[in-house]
Amino acid sequence: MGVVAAERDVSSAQIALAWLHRNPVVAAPIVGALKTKHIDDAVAALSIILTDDEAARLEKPYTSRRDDQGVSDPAVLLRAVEAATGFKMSA
Amino acid sequence: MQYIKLGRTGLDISPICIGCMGFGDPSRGYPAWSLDEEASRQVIRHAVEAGINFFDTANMYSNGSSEEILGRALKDFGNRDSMVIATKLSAPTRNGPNALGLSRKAIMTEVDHSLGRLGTDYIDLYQIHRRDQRTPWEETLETLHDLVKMGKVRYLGASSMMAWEFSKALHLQKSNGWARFVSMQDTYNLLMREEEHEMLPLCGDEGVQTIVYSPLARGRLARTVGREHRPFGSRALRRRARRQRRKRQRNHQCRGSCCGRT
Repeated sequence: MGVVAAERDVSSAQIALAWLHRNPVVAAPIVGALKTKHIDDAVAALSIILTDDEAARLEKPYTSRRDDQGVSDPAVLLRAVEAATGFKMSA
Repeated sequence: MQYIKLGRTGLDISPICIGCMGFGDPSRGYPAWSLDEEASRQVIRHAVEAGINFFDTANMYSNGSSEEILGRALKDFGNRDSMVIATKLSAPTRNGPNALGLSRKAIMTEVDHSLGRLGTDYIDLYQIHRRDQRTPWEETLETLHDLVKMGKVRYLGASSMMAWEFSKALHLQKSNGWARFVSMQDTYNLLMREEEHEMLPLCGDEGVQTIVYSPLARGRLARTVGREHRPFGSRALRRRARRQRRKRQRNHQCRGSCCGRT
């Protein structure tokens, strides 16, 4: 995350908030502002549109606690099935 | 500021919500690290001046002090008709029976207390802080619906529960013609993405939007790169917070999932 923030020369907080704003299910992050600077950061994050590549780099280090019993995203399920069985469902 | 509609409602909100847990007289209880009124007012004023109209508090934050400070500050700095005040209930603000949870009695009592502390006639978004497993969903949901019909509350929101519980609530509301939850407040950030498995797909499917708390993982995502992580606050503050936590647990003897957590 530090790399993405450094490339754009913004704070890492702005990058973390910009990542949330990509998600259409997210209306607003709740920013527990204790300083006026925190608000300025949150407002500045609104004008950062992350690229898909940047988002992928931000998401990569995360290790999910999920097992494969319930997968809501068909694309994720497809990848999991293909990885487990070795069969290719897509062309 | 570009305002957005919250979920499928017509409500205009700023895409930033100010979390008010940090505003409150620290001597009135959890959290130990809250800003006093004067410092809080400066932050709230700055937010209003930046065009932010969305503020989230709760009955339990500094035992009501957060609501009082927010209510007074918004009266001085903002236009009530434009502001969106969100608060929550279910956690207790006193000892004894009927202080905790989401019974019809508790809800009717807590809403009036919150309105009094906020100094307003209505709450824009009234959220249940946690699910109360010891009260039937129907009792809770019908009472919340009544609050909307009474004009005390404009919209209903939910927070922090299992996706199956939320799904059940939404369907009970739909089948009974009750006002529906329009928002879900849950933890979501780059370090904690477990909601991606169940809750977020459910919300997407139901047209409910999330207002996410801990978007910066308690500041971990905001700290300067390369700096060592240090636990939040000074040693004295942490000790005080620990004492408060123990006291809460002793007093409330809650067997549900309502307390013992933030």
